[in-house]
Amino acid sequence: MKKTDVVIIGAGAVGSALARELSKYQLDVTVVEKNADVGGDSSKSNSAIIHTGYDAKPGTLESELVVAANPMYDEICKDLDIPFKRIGAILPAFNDEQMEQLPAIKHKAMQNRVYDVEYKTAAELLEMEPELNPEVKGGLFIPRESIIDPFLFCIALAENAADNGVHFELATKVIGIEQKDGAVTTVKTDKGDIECKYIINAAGLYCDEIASFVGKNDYYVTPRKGQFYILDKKTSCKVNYIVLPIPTKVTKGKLMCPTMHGNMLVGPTAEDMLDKEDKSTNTEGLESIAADVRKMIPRVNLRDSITQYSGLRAQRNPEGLNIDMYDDLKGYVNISGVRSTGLTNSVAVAKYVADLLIESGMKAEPKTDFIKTRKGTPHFAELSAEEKAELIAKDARYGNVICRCETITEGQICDAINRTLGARTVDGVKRRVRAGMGRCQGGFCGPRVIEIIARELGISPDEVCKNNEGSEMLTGFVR
Amino acid sequence: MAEKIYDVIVVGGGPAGLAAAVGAKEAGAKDVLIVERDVSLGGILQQCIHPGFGLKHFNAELSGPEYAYRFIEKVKATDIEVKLDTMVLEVGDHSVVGINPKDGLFVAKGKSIVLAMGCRERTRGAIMTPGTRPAGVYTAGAAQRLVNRQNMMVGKKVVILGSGDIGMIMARRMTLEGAKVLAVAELMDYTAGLTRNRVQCLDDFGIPLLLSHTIVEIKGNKRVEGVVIAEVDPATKKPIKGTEVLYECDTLLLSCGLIPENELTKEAGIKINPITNGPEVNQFMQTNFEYVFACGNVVHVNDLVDNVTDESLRAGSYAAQYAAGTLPKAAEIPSVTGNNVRYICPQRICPEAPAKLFFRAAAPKLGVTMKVYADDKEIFSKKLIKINPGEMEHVEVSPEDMKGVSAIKIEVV
Amino acid sequence: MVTKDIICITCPQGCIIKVCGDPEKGEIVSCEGFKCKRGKAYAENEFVHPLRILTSSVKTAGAAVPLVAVRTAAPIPKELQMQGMEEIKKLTVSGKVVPGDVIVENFLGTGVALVASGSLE
Repeated sequence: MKKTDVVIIGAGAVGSALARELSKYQLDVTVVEKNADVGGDSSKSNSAIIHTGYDAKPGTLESELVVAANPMYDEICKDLDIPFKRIGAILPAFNDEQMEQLPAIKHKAMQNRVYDVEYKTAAELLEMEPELNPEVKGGLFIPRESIIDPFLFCIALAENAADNGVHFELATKVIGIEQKDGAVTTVKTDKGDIECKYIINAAGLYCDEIASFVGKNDYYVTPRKGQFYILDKKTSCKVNYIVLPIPTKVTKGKLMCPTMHGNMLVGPTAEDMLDKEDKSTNTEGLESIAADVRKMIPRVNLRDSITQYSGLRAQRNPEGLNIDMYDDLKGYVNISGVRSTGLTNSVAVAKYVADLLIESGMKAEPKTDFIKTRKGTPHFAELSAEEKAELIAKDARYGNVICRCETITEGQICDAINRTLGARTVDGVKRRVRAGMGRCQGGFCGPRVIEIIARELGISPDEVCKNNEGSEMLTGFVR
Repeated sequence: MAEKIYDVIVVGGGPAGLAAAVGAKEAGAKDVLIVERDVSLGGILQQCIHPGFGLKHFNAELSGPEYAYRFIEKVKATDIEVKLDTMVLEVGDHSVVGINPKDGLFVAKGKSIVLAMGCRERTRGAIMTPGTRPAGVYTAGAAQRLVNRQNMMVGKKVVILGSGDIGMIMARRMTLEGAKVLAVAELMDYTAGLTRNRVQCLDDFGIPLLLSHTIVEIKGNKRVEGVVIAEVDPATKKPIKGTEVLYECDTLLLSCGLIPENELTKEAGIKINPITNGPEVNQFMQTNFEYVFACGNVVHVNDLVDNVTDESLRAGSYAAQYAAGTLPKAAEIPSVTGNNVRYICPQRICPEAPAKLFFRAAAPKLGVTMKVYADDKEIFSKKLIKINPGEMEHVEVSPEDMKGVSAIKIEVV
Repeated sequence: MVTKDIICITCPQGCIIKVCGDPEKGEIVSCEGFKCKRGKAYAENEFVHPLRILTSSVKTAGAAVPLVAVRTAAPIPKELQMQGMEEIKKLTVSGKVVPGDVIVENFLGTGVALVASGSLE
């Protein structure tokens, strides 16, 4: 039987951040993830925004942690060598009713200690964001709302954790938890048991199911679907800021913003669902996005969409971010209610949980040899001509462009496969280096990427999967 | 050593690029370079192993590789320089920036440049097919490459969306190679591709063609498990509720249209026509950057490779003339679309030279007359039994027709 | 005696030509709906004995690419296509190949050769 000190269940943003945080200590940490790759479910399908917490419910744990997390990102992203941009958000009001809501929104921001929210006049907003509906009356500017690459963020956290000794058990599903004398002892998985002292439930959408193994499911989680469009980098109508609608009681509403790589992101819907596996898009949802966003950005051209996707937020019932430890179940930490703020929250949740464990008596000596930084795969397209030439001279595979839409080279794809916690799948390559993420969506590079993965991993091309087991790209050979 | 300056640099080594290079050489260009991103010349022709090419140009029914071979042999017989495995990153001022494993990043200078990058397929994202995102959804061309060149089978039970030629040809290919093709669904009430392909690729194998149908949902979380096909209202193209039928399959192929591949053109700042999605050209296939020419599917999606060859031979020869300083230059006049004409290529005409104008109708119609006007004066008229947007028509105008004229108009009535 | 609607593919018009006769005996009683001589000839041929060029690919040995394209040098009876595929699946080619090289003479006893349509260096 495998033995470890801490098992983290789930390698989404929270699980990955926790893995990295705990890897700073002399602990043996194992992350168990049901998917074939790190990056989670909700953590990879969202609006890719690092929030300030200006609109959180004041006085809640969620508010405290979002507000605390936002300032951490400059350093974390620098350390992990991933892109991050503080582009700011605008919240335009288009009628008197919406104008009347602005003071309350600003006041709430102050209550949440987000002090840098400012009023903007219609003229100022139109200068900042020329594509805004000219009927704008005024609005708010939230300078520290930021954008990130959510795939790379989770992957980089996990990679750095792995470099610091954390074990990742991927494609491994937790099927039970054993306890003895009021303390957890073992995580049971479909690939065998893991003996441990601590278990952290960071299973997001499925955290209620994990909690039920130890009878701590005094809540349940329902999925709330959010559908999105990604628009071509060359779309005719682009925005400079995260453009947010004035929220309604039901949802924060549908936004439009640039992505870290220069595409436009438009969405999401908010549809309460029952099936946690249903990540399908539908015409009704997508059409509702068009109607809503056009009110703010009339020229938005959804015909320039290169892909649409949906993600499931984990809606806790009753609501609210909860991080619990239990007197009658030592060693168990339950994290629930991580929802749309979860991507932002993750790094603060990680610190909070680490502190909670240490306070509770977990033996955790800081490491002296913690590797704080990670070096990412070179962004070939963004290098200068000299740097490109130098890289190709060192490794000719960087001279072989595989994905023409994003200018991704064979060198980058091989690096993505061969690095720590490297890509094993087509989606894994796509999320690490963006091959297939462009306007042709892998139409050109897909066949080549399959060949490279097969070659680098020493497997047959018909064993290459899109993502999880059972998602084989091919069904065999022709001859 | 002085820096080498090519007379003509051709971007792309598919049918258009090959013909352009040959055309340039035949017109007297000395140093010609082809830059091709694949490991071999021929472009898409190498995976089009079916017959039907060359009926016009070679008066023989050839397969894609055979058609390509004839041009590759012509190129090999000359001193045309070829860089394979090379991606052009940028078209600059009389130059292209390219990259390959051997030369690294390089700049090649040319007196004229011919853009021949071809086109790409519309994807699932572009047509916004709802549903899950499993493995097993391919564009027909990507599947064609996997099956015909890489020896990889993409699926066993297949549904095809779109009745474009590649889609129908892949229906036959998949059937011949042992897969079951359940249906081809087409949004319009007519096939997008050629009738001969419908007969020989679908009817021959008993593959149902569902006109006025579309896919309203893709099912399956890992691999495709099925698609839901619904009938559409022919007028609105919206699915009709209650007509949904689930087709259990493991693969969906998309043949929903082609888009000229103009990333480099746009980056360079060359003027793009919003209808064709290709650069605007004159009859010399010259863009608004006078040293940049363009030909083939990068300009407008052609119906037959033979037309691409014809156009590209001319483009190459004009590019060579430009490099030699002998290409006529004069104030240009526009070609104007009249009734039931979707676009005309070229969009601009140099009135001092004869011009071959290609055009496509906006809607199919029987018993029509095409008319050409020089300003208000009718200069040509021809009766046609039928006009179809799927097939290109053409007409020639002479310098005499254009003397003192401010525009040439084509209409179909 | 059978009647068949044949869609003419000799030009883009796609005339539907009604042919009546006994295809087994090669007898044609009537042929209607054609608008030109070529159409009539196509429909009659298609009725009596439809022919198709079969194309596919053959496995290579010791080459940089896994497949080389092949075709029948001329059209073969339509009904032999699937049988032809079974033969093609058994073949392997190696060495230098150029389009037109004969892979199988008298393919399926049709008198038509199976030839390479692609090349191998």
